[in-house]
Parts: sequence; C-alpha cells; structure tokens
Amino acid sequence: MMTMLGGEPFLLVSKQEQQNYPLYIRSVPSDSELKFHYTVHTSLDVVEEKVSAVGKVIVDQRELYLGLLYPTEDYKVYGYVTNSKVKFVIVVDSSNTSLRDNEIRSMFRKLHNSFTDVMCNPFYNPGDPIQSKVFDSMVSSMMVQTC
Amino acid sequence: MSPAQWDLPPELCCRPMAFVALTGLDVVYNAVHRAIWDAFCANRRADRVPISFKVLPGDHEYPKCRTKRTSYEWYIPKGILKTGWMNKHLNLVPALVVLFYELDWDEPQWKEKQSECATKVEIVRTSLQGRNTKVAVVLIQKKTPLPPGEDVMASERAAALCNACDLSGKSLFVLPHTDHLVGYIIRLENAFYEHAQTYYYTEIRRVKSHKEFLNKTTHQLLFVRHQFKTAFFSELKQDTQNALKYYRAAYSLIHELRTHETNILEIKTMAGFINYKICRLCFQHNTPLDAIAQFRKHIDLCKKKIGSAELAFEHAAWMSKQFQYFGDLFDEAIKLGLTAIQTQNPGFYYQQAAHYAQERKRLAFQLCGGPEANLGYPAPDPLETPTGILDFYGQRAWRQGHQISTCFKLVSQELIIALLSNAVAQFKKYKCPRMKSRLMVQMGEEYYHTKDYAKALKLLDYVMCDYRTERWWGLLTSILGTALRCSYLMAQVKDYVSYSMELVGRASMLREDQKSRIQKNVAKVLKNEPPEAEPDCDPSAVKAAQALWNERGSQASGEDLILEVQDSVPFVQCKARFLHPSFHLDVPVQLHVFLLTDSPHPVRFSKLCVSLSNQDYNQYCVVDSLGQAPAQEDMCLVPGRTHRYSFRFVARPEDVGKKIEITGVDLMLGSENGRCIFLNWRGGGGDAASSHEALQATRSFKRRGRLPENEVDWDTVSIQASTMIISRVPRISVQLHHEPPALNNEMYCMMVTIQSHEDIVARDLKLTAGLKPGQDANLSHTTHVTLDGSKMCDDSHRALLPDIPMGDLQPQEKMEKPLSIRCSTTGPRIFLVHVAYTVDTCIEGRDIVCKCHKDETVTIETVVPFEVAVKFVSTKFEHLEHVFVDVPFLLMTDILSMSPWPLHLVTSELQLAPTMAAVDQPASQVEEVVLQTGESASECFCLTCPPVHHGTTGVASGQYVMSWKRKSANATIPVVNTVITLPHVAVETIPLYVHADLPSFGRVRESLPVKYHIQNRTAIVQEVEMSVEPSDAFMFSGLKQVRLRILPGTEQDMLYNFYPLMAGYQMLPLLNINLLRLPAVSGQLLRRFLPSRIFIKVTFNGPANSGIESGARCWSYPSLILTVSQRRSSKVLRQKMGRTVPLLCPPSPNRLSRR
Amino acid sequence: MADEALFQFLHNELIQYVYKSSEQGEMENARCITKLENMGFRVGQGLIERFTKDTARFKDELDVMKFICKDFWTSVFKKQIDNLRTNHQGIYVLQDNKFRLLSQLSAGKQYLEHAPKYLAFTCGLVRGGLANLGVKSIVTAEVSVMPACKFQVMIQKV
Repeated sequence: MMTMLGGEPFLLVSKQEQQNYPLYIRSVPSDSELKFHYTVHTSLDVVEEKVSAVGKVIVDQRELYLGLLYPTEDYKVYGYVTNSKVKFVIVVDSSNTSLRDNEIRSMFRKLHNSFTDVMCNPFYNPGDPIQSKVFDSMVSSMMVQTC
Repeated sequence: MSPAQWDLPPELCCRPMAFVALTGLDVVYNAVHRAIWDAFCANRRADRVPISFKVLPGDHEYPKCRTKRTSYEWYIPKGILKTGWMNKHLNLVPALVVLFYELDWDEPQWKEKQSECATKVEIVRTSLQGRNTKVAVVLIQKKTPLPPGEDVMASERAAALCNACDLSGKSLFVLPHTDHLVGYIIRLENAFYEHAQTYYYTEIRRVKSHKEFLNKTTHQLLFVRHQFKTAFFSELKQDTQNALKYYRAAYSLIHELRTHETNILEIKTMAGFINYKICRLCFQHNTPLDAIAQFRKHIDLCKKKIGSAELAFEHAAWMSKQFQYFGDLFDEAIKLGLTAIQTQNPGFYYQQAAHYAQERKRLAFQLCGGPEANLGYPAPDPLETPTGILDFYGQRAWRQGHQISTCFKLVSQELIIALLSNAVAQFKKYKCPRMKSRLMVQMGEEYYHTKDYAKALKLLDYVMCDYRTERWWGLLTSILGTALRCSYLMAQVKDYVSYSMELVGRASMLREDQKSRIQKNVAKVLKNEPPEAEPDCDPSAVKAAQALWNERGSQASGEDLILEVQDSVPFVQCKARFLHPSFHLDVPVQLHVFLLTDSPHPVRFSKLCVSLSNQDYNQYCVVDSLGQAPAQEDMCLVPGRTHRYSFRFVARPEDVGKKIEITGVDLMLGSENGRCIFLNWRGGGGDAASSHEALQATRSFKRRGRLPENEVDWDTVSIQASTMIISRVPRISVQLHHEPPALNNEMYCMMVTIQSHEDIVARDLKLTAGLKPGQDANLSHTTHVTLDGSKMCDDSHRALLPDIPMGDLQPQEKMEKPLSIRCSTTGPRIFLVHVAYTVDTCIEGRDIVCKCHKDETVTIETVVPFEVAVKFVSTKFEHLEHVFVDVPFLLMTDILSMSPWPLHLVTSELQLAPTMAAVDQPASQVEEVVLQTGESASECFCLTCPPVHHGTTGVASGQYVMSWKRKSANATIPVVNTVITLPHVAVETIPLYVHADLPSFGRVRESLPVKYHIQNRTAIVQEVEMSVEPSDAFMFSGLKQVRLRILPGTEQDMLYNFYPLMAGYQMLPLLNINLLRLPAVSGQLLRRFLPSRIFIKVTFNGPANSGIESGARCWSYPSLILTVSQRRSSKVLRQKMGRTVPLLCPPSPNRLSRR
Repeated sequence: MADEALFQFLHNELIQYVYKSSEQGEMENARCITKLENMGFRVGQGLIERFTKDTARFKDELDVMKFICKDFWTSVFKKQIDNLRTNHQGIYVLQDNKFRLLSQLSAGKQYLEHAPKYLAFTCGLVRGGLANLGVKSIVTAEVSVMPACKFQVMIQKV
C-alpha cells in the first residue's frame, strides 16, 4: 500500500506464502505515481535482506521497524515488517526534514494497529487487497498530517 | 558541446608520479642505451618506486619559467586552475633531469670528455632556468668498478668531474654496463626518487610561501589554486595523507566562492575535480565511508547550482558524470578488495547517473521543442574556443546570452543504456533482483525511445514474468503498455496479440475504455486489418508501422498463430477437468472445459479443442462451427459468465490401466479467412495468476450468491487434468474354502469357487493362483502350488500358477477348482487368486471387448504340526548321560501335536545309523494314531550300541521319520514324511556287565528264582567279590558272599532263590559286586543294570500257576510302552481321564527275545 | 478473551451448533471437526496479528513456539503450556496438564470419545496463528486422561 501526500508514499505488502504482492498502495496523485510503485517494489530487496538477516547477524535487529531502507536522491524509503510478515513501506520526499525517525516510527505503529483491525474484520479474507474505509481514512489523515 | 565535455581530464584521473627526464640516451641506434632504457621501463611493478621516466634529447627545451611575481597586489586572477597546469607538472617539468654520458675512469682523452660533459650539463641547466629541477649525471662505463676507495684514479676524476659540472657528489652516478644491469638501474632509480622527493618538497614550500601575499577579497581564486597545487605536489611526492588534507581544504574554499552566472560552471568543474581527487584518495586509504560522505556532501552542495534555467540540461549532464565517476571509483575499489553491501554499492551511483542522463535528455528536448526540432550543428562550433584549448578549466569561451544551439544528435542514448547496464550488473551482484528488474525496464524504455524496438521488447519480456510472479499488476500493466507499443510499431502480430490479451485481462489495471480500445484492435487483427495506433507513439514511427501492418495483412491470410498463455494472464481463463479421477472401461469418460473471459466485450471463438495424451480421443473433444454445429451463443463467451463445454468418449480397451492426461487446451479465435489465433493452455488450463486466486477463493468466507441453474461459480471449479481408465467392474464372485492355518510341508487344500453374475457368457476364464508376487523372495522358493493334489509337490513346482485356462462360464454358472499348496517354511504368506475373463459389451453404440478381473487375496499362516522330543534312558527309565557298549538302553520319542486340527499319524519309522542296533524289530507304535491339539504320543525303542573304536565318544543315532497328514484330508492327499534327525549319543565301554533274569512279579511266600549273569568283558581274568545283603522283605537261598574268578569273555551265572515275605513293590536284596582288579568300577555302577524292585502279589487261591518258570525274563525292561497323555489344563485332564490310562499292548514274546 | 467463562460457553455452544446443524453419520463427525478446525484457523490468524503487534521480531521457529506456549496460551486460556518438547526436526509437543476447554468436561476417562470435538477449534487456532507467522504446520491433539492434553505441531517445510 502506498500513500503519498506532499511527497509521502506508503506501501504495504503481504508476504503470505513467500509472496510480495501489494495489499494496499496509496500515494498522492501525481505524474510520478508509477515511479513510486517501482521505488516501493525495489525496496523489497532490502526488506527481504534485512528480515532474513535476523538471527544471523551479530547486531541482531529484533525491532519490527527496519528504519531507513535506502536513500535515493529524491526519496527516503522506510520499512517495517510485522511478525506476520506483512511489510509496510513509507516513501518520503528527501526534502521533507520534518519527518524524523521517531515520526516515521509512530506512523508505522499507526498503520500496524489499523492493519490489525482489518485482520480482525470478519469480512476480510487474509491475503486479499485491503478495501477498508476506516483504513483508508486513517491513511488519509496521516498523509494530511505530514503535508 | 559533446557529453565528453564532462569527461575528467586524463591528467586528473591518473596517479601522479614523480617525473624524471633522461637525456643523453640514444635509444634508437645505440644498443647499450636501448638496454638501459628498457631496464627502466620494463616490469614496473608495484615494488618499484613510482616514477614516470621520459627520454628527452640533451638540448630539449623545457617550458619557460615565467618570472616570479614578487607582489600580488595588483594581480587579479582570471580563473582557478589553468588547463595546462597538471599536465605541465606531470609530463613537461621534470623533478630531475639525468644526463647519461659514456665515460670510463681510464678514458685516455679524459680532459676533453670531462669538458664535453660539463657543457651538456650546462645546456640542461640553462633550459631549466628559474626552476628548482635538479640535474644528475650518470656515467655509463664498460668496466666493473673496483670497490670504493681502491681506485684512486676514479675518486680523483670523479671529484674533478663534479667540480667541472658543478655537481654535488650525490648527483654523480656510475652505471657499469655489465650483467647486473637491472640491479644497478633499481639502485639508480631509488636515488632519483629521493632527488624527486626533495624537488616536490621545495615546490610545496614555494607555493605555500605565496599565501602571505594574498588577501581575501581579490585573491579568493588563488586560495583555491594554491591549495590544489599543494595537494597535487603532495601527490607527486606520494604523500597522499597530506594531499587529501589539502584537497579537502581546497574543496571547502571553492564553496566559499561567490557564484554567479559566469563562474558557476568553473566552480562546478573544479569542485568536481577536487571531489574526484578526495574520493579517490579516500578509497585508496580504505575509508570508503569517508568517500561516500564526501560525495554526498558534494552532490548536496552542487545539486542546486544549476545556473541559467536554459542550461539545466548541461547541469544534468554534469550531475550524471559525477555519479558515473563515483560509481567507477567505487567499483575500482571493490576490484581491489573493498566489500560493498546491498544498500551501498556502485549500482546506485550508476543508476543515478543514468537518471541524470535521462533528465538531461528530457530537458534538452524541452529546450528544443522536441526531438523533431533537431537543428543542424552550427558550422563553426560555438563551444570550441578558436585555439581549441581554454585557458582555465570550466570557463566558457563565449559570452553568456549567445544563442545556445545544441545538437541533440549527440545526446547519447548509448550512454544512458551503458550506465543502466552497469547498474544492472552491480545490483545483480548485490542481491537486488527487483532493482535489477526495474533498471531493465528502464533500459527497455530507453531502447524504445531510440526506436530499437526489438531490443526493448527482449528486455521487457524478460522482466515481465518477474512482475507477474510477484503479482505487481500496476507495474506489469505499465510494462505491457510499452511492450504493446513496441510490438505495434514493429507490426509483430503475435506479440501484439499476446500483450493485448493480457492488457485486456484481469491483471491489467487499465481503465475499461482503454481495455475496450485494445480489444477492438485485437478484433481487427483477427480480421486481418491493421489495428489502430497506440496513443503516445511517435507519429513518424506510426506511419512506418501502418505500412508494415498493411504489408503483413496482404501476406498472411490464414496464418495460424499459437500463443502459449500458461505463463501470462490472458483475458480468457480456462480450466479443464475430468469428472472423476478414474473411469471404468464400460462407462464413457466425461470431461468439462470451463471458459471465462474478463474482457469488456464478448469474445467469439471458432474452435475449442482439447488435446489428450492419447491423441485418438482428441477427435471427440472439439467444439467448432463445422462439426456438431452448436448454437451460436455457445461460441461466444460473455464477460463474467462461466461457460461449460462437456465432452464424452468411450475409452479403448488397450488403455485400461493407463492414465489419460489433458496435455493442452486450444481455443481458436478468428477465422480461416482472416487470421487464426490459438490460445494454448498446457495441461488442464490455469495461468500465472490462477493458482493464487484459487487459494484465496478457498479461504474466502464470502457468501456466494446463488447462481441460476446450470451456471457454475468459477472459483469452485478445480482443475483435474488426468484420469485413470480402469477395467470394468467384474461381475463374478470368487470364494476360497480352506482350513487355515497350513501345516508345514503338508499339501494344503484350497478350493476356489467361481460363480458368474454376468448376464452374458464370461469367456476365456483364466485363473492365476498362488503366492502373491512382491513378497519376501525366499517365500517363492519355499512355496509350491499345484493343481494335482495327489502327488507331493517338490521344488519343480512354481509358487504361482499363471493363466490356468478355465474355459467359459455361463451366467450364474459355478465352477470349482482345487488348489494344493505346500509351504516348507512357517510364517504368514499372502496368496492371490486372480480370475480374468472377457465379456463383449456395447457402450454408446460401440462394441467393445471388456477384460475384467477379480482378485482375491488371503493371508495364510503356516505352522509346525508337531514337535518331537527325543531322549535316551536306561532300561530303568533313568536319564542317560551316555550309553554303554552292548548294554541295552531305551530311545524315547515324544510327539506333541501343535496343530489346531486333528493330526493323523500314519506311521513312524526309526532308521538307525550303522552305529546303533535295535534289540528287537523296531516297529511303529503310533501307527494310525490321531492326535488332537496339545496331545502327545510317545514311542520307545530298545537299542544297543555295538562296540566302537577305541577313543570314540559319540555316535550317530540315525533318523526318525514321521508319516502323517491332517485327519480331515481325504485319502488321495499324500502322506507327509517328516524326518527328524536323532541326536548323537556319548558311548562308553564297561569291563563287567551284570544283568538279572527274574520274573515280572512274585507272590508272597512263593519261591522267586533270580539268576544274575556276570560277564567279563575284559581280556583278563577278573576276580569278583559278590555278596547279597539281607532284606526284611525277602528270605533267600544261594551264596550270601562269594569270591569268584571269571575268565575273559565268559559269563558266570549266579542263581538265587528269593522268598518274598511281603506284598507290594519291594526292594530286592542288594547285590554288591566288587572287582578286585578294577576298584574303580564300583558296585554302584553295576547295580544300575540290575532291577532294584519287584512287585509282589498276594498269594491267591488258585493253583500257583506261575509265569516264574515260563521265565518272562526280561520284564524288568519293557520294550514297549505307549502312553497317551494330556497336556491340557487339569480341568480338561480330569474330564478326559479315561484317555490318560497307559495303553499297554501285551508284550509279544518274539519281541522280547534277546540276542 | 474478555472473560474466560464467556469464551468457554461460546465454545461449547459453537460445538453444539456445528454438530446439531449437521446430519448424523461417521462422515459427518469428520466434517464437523474440519469445520471447527477451520474456524479456529481464521480466529488464530486474527489473534496472532493482534498479539504480536508489540513483540520483538522472532528469532527463529523455537522463538515462535515459545510465544505460542507463553503469551498466546496465557491470553486465550489464562495459563501457560506446562511442557514444551521438540525433536529439533520440526515436531513440537505442547502439553497442557489442565486444558481449560476440557476441565469442565471430565477428570478422567469418562467422555473420552467426545474430547476431539472440544480440541478441534484449538488445533485450528494454533495452526492459524503459526500460519500467519509464516510457519506452515499440521496440528493434532491427543488426550489420554482429561483434562490433560497434548498438542502436536508438525512443521511443514516449504
């Protein structure tokens, strides 16, 4: 899932059965929307590497928040993977300095909480794209906030 | 202005090395000089000092040194760094000039030579006027010099030469031209290196000294220049640590410069140079993080220094180069051993370089109003200075505001693609598959822009499946769009249709109207008409494409295109399934094909056919407009509705036991008079997305709406691509009658009863019976089956009798077949009875011959029928450890029935070994005895052992053969002979043998004559002392105590008359025998041969008819005892008490006769 | 679980409902068990999403199993698993000596034949929870004397 407002795209990808297809993508409508999709998709390389490194590397990162995945010239890409292997990605404009690590972290927490609610919705079939209005509005509010 | 404008000058990129000029060498004509030069040049490995040598003529003009400025007060610098400066110090101004001169110490014309040399030195010095360059002289000598101090003339002349040339002693060298040239050269160059170091050190000092004359307002440029020069000299001096320090200082100074339109390019250029140097040195010092940090800083500082908006394209090109060079440096460092990581590798820099290159192209197009507006390149290149070389790096030769007319033909697509492919290679290396795919997409798009559609398609096609498997439909749609344009512009019909179908299908994220447009285009292609052009295509290219399509249309009527759709997500989905996982031969095979389309418009097809593994059936699985002419609406797929097509066919008898698989489903679109396109699904259908959809559907808790009758919910259909053809269900019964368990070795009877329940004649009945194959291999050797139960089976009989012809079986007829099985080992066995037959049937109007078969298996345990225990006892039934030669003993056999069925013992036979002899004729005592389960029968044989060779301790006894059968077996069943090998027995000889003759019983107060026979079995005379002990039960007459001699081999009889006083079992008076010669043979031993007790009857009134005289002498050792005893529980025992009584056969005298 | 009694009653009614709404027969029993197991699977999927929201990333499979035995079990059944054993080859045995859903049923061998239906939901719960953590498994239960119960988890390697 990708959301973008004033330069903040988000993404969430599920890893059910080793898959990485998008469950929800939202971004601020712009010409470069496709580019965001690519950015998010390519960031999965880093996510996979980081998650598979858990338990192997001496500096064991056990936090769900993966931090800055990689910097590009224009965007900063942050990652978060739940224990249920659902991946969240937030893409932020490099020029946006108001969003620091802590803000990003709390955005991910919000997303995760909201996603948990989606999972507990009886009408939601795990693995299907998310079409929840509550989730949508939560993401929207987050995007407006960061504008 | 070519992109090469931004290439860094080679003098910046090389590793600066001290420059040493060699003069006085004639490397062309003089072999010695040539050898010296080669020794300097050849094999310059890392262990040699870093010097760059150059051969110059002796009178070479070095660059003139300008007079040094004494004051900078009125000096306003025009730029930062002159374009020639680096080259000057690398290649033109040497740190040291070496003059080679051939002169031996014993040169006869020493004076002349010396002054010539001095002149040469002077010429060099003059040319280097004003510079700090050192001069050194090397004398090339033919002779090996003597050790220092020994050659007085040498030292004198050397001093004189130094004097003449105004050289210090350290600058004069001798090079003997001998075998060890390379060694001398290395020593020489080390000395040169020291001189060069000193030179550069003074240069650094000199540049630094200018600083005090400078002021911050007018000389800002000079601050940068001087720091740069210091750093560069430090590099030449190989002092990289300080060089880095000075470069860093220069870098921060350059950003302190005020920027304006006119100098922005110069600042960026120089910043780029210095940044390059810093990064390069950081990598060299193995501090890659410093390099990366510097580069980031550099980019951040310069990113916004675009300058005039019209020159933005130029800035983008510059940025691209910056990234590219950093990527190169990074990559170079990795090749030298640096480890990169996934998130920090050269790929990112190449990618960014490519990005800026694309940006540059975009901006340039914008400026010129599109690629069409290509202007010719202006004839006198306005970007070149008239002299060709600019004075300072990064300065423009023309005034700003001149018309910028750039030629975009030189905008190099190849550059972008090369950068992208560099990045691809890097990301591949650092485990970034998705990044790699993305870059390949960009490469594809770049090729598309350069109109290299074939290459574009190849790349896009390659990554498409990655996006499909990852299910990123948005990205896939975008790639497919580009691919579709490519295929349209090339008029590649097959690709065009294939991409179109996926873009119309469910994975595509296009809007309905876009899908609709594409689907209409596909329809046109099917009609052999050119499709509408894709939007956003280059108009000129479209024109060419239309011509191509028309050409294609005229050529290709009736062309068949086969599209493999398995690995894509086409607009028609297919699932094929057999109704059952198996079909009986006499039932038609049924098969359904389900089709569903997701396109905006209905899809009409002209043929649907299923290919099966046995192609003979394919003809039955076709829907087309010709054959059975189905209704028109059946050939039209309505979007969103599941269409079902049913097929049925009768399988062939030869396919029984085989699998029939759906190898493919073909759907034909279009028609013969237009173009035919076959969508081909391998196997039973499905595509790249269907398996995941099916999985999600099974998990879904969504309530499915009730569908109208005869409509199917797509998600509930599963693919079943194969089925088994199995034989017709047999309508016969096979029953087995037998009495398990089988007894070991017996001919076990099994009756096979076959009854037909068919309505027609079952023909060619064949029976296969016996051991089921596939069990333990040993079983087949120990199991034998025969139809002839009257003869015993042997090893020639097989374990399985195959295909016994049984003829035909009428409806309801019953047939029996007896089988005899012999199992020679115990344990369980599985037996198979297989009845095969054929019937003629008619299915759906086809006559087929059905082979049916019915299998019955049964597990039969084989058990031991009886156990035989054998023991040796004395005539008094005492257990014997060993037997004595020529002394009778008893062999007893106990036969215990283990069979659950009554056992009929036909007879038994004792086959004695030659080492044994029977005392009487051994006849079977168990003949015709029937044993129930758990009952036992015993036999007893009186045997003696003939004399054996001395030293023999054990002898064979022979064999015991039981002949038996189960009681229920009829007379024709052969008797089983079971052979039991009797155990060996230990044999001993005795010197004296005693035995007694006495009646079987006595009577009270009636005389009882007893005769003792004492036999001497030795070869010597034996003295025997005998005595009879008194007894309460008897009176007796005879010798109470006697001593007698017995001759060898003779026998002495002693007669006693006992007179019983009491009735009952009485101890006989004890007979003591002592052998005086053989005290070892005790009376105890001998007494074992004598009866110890006798039964005394009460006197009855009748005449004392006694058997005493009639002399049943041997009653003490009954030769025949037969008992039938119960070994069941005591309860049973009591009930059957009657049977426990010993069955005593009367002794017949002839059996009792002694030898 | 808001209230354990509520959960138990609801669970009992669930079993009642599933069995009553089905027809009689041997096949039906198996089908009901599967139905209950599937319900548990979906509940487990949702629950684990909630329970693992604030935990650190799991190090390995054993780490996940420990979480199931401690936090998960405590949240659902108000007690921990009493004993966890593994052969280190993908089989884990979770033993609960006083399994909450059986404790009101019997304290011995009486009604032993009814035990499976009271365990199916929990088996699904564990399987669903594990599945959502990326661990595919087969979960079976075994009872010899109620209310003790053993759950066997067989990990299926991909």
